[in-house]
Amino acid sequence: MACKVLVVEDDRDIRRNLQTLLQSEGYEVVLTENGKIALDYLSQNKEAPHLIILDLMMPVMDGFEFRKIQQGDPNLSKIPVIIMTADGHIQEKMKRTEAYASIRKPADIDTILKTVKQVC
Amino acid sequence: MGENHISVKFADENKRRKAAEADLADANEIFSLLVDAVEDYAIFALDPGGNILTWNAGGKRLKGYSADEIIGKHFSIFYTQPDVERQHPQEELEIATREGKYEEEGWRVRKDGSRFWANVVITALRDQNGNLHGFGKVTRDLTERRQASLALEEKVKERTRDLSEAKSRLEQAIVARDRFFSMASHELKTPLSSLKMQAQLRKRNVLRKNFSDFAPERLLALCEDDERQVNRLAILVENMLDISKLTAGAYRLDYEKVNLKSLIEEVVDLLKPNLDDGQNECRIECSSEIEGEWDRTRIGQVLTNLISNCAKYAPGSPITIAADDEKDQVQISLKDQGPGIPEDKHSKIFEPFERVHVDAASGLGLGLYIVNQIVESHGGSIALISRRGQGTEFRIVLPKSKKGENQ
Repeated sequence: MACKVLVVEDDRDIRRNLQTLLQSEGYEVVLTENGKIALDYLSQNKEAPHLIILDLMMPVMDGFEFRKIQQGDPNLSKIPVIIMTADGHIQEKMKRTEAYASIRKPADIDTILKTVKQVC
Repeated sequence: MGENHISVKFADENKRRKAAEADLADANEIFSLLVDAVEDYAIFALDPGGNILTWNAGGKRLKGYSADEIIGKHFSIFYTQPDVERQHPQEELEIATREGKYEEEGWRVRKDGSRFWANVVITALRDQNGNLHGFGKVTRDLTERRQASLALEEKVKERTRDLSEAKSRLEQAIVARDRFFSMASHELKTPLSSLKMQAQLRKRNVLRKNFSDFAPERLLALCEDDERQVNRLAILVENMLDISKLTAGAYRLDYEKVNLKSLIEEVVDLLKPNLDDGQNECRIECSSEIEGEWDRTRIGQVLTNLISNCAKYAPGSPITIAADDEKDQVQISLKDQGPGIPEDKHSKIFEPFERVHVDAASGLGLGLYIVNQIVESHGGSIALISRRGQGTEFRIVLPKSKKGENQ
């Protein structure tokens, strides 16, 4: 069974590039454009993803807010999260979100794959 | 002989006593003259009940009463009504009686009713057996010193207030700067991120001999994605550089003859990937005759900022760019049918770092500020006509010729 990755990212091109990259490595990819849409997806789908790649600065619901709700939900809190952000202070943001790992934008596709492969 | 000796001795004693008495009288007189002559201090004596017994030149100068007017009066006459009502004069005498001395600073009243700030010392006067004979009272006018001290205090307060305001302005500026850098970092890195991933994916596909991305239609779409991201970066970098030029006062206009329609078409063409992405259909209603003397690059920048805003904030909405020739000026209107701008945001929209659509999580809030600066530096004006849910229109009026010159 393919490893399922949920991408939460507001920039459409980055979203699509992640999809192309991950699918070429055999991952199943679900794309969402903000925290709210990602939560809606998670609540409507029984089969939880194995990993969430989460942008932090997004409209409607940002990554911090998404993470807070995700961590508070026992059905979702165990899904590991990799934050992907263009903002500075990435270590501080890792701590704040208690993320499994972080990817700094602009990222190498090799770095992205290596980080994702640590989970599945 | 013995008797004579005694009587001589007695006579000497008597003489010495009289001389001593005369010396004392002289000394008392000198002292009295001295006290009388002192002008800077009111020095006078009170009987045990507080009635005035003596008066000096200083008393007249400070309080305005002559000796005739004041001697025999109760010293509470120098006190303010509230002090008299709370029996403060009596209280002062009681303390001086008990402790030997009373000193304070406070308001006193002159004969003409005016007030002055006084330093007052009341000393109990007792004889060798400790019987109270009255009080000595010395009063000094400290009004000027007090005013100077109050003025100084006020100045210190004022400076403290200025400093605290400056500190708070500085703190706000630091917060704004940090927010700007954080947003700038995000805004610059997002398109870079997309471009980098795209370049690496293509390289990887070539190395893996996977050419599906190189089919003409697919390649065209990818190139348009790249172009859109490059446009986004270019506008951003241009705006950031302009902000630094505006701040440094190094902003110059390079006037030339510009055909408006061709400029609008050029900008729309450049932004095609952005407009296609936002599914914005763009209609241009401009006569090819309209010309003006403007800075072509800058007016192009105005149009670029406004049109790219439409694509960003009003996706799916048709955009109309219309221009009217009005004698010495041109009116340009850019209209979309997007979400509109709430009226409470209108007053701040042309200020730097203001973002109407904060929810969109992108943009530095520089575009409209720069647009306004460019239009104003051409001697023109820009107006916003918009309401929430009813689309947005920017109406620009530009003089056709350089400021202050007729065509």
